Amino acid sequence: MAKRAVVLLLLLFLIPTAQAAIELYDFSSEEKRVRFHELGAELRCPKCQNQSVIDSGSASAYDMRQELYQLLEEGYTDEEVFEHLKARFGEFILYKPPVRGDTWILWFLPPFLMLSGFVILVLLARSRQKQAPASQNDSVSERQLKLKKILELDSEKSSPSNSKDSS
Amino acid sequence: MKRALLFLPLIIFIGLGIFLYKGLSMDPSARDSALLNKPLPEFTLPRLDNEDLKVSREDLVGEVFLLNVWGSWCPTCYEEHDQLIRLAEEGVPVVGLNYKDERPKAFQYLAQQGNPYTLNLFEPDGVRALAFDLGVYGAPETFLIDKEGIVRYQLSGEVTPQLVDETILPEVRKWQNAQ
Repeated sequence: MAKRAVVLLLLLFLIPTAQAAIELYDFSSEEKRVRFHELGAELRCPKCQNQSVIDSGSASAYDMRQELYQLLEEGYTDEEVFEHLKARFGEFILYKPPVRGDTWILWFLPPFLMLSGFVILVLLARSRQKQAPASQNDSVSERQLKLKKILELDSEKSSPSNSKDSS
Repeated sequence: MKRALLFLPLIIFIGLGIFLYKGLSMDPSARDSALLNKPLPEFTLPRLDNEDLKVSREDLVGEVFLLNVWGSWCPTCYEEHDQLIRLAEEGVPVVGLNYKDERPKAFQYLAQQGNPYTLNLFEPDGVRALAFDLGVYGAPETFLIDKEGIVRYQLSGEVTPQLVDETILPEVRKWQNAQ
């Protein structure tokens, strides 16, 4: 009984694969099949906020795949494919936006932030290294003495309340 | 100098806060059509009511008209339908583009909701023609085409009474009066 339940539960995992649309594209060459998947991953589905044309199950993504297939079979270059679809759906569908006055922040802000973070890290580490020796002047025995004092103080404070609790 | 530097994280935080707060009120799906101020693409599509009658770009271009993309499967289309009827009553030609629909369902829709369209084009699922070339990815969508056949205004989403009064009718009149 339990075994059967486990098998049934495992079968649930098959649901997504069974429901995924099976689309057959008969490419005239292996090279076109590879390009279809490469370009499809770089094209954003116009209907969705963040899914590629390959990933999305929406009707408009399906249309885009059909069009992409047709364009590749007609011998369009990558550049021409992007131009063709951009003329219809706008730059929204390009996952790689062109480098322009209004897009430079997309391209250059992340590396700039990363670099400045790294610089700050290095500077901080250096200034710490300079300060560090000063605070470590105490010898080992001196530090142990200090620690002992702290521990003694601590146990004096807490012992009366502790004994009450345990009795 | 060192003190001032301590405020740097706070300043960055405030700047980031303003930037992200502004993003909250922005509509990520709002974007201008790539077809704005471009010519209406060439097409040949059958009429919805008669599949043997083909309509092409030349048949439509000449006067200012609205092109409304709709489907009986689209809930917002029902919402905006009264506004299309109002526009038609104002004398604005509204051409329908029935999108990813089936004929019987579309006929039923028009019979129940009323028919404001001067004519309807039919672009079912599997066909990539005018709607695809216009960058349509959902319905409803509405385009304003001027006398020269140039797209002058585009709206993704519902035609509201306010949009009709404040934007669409003034735009139609403007392009009707243009030389």
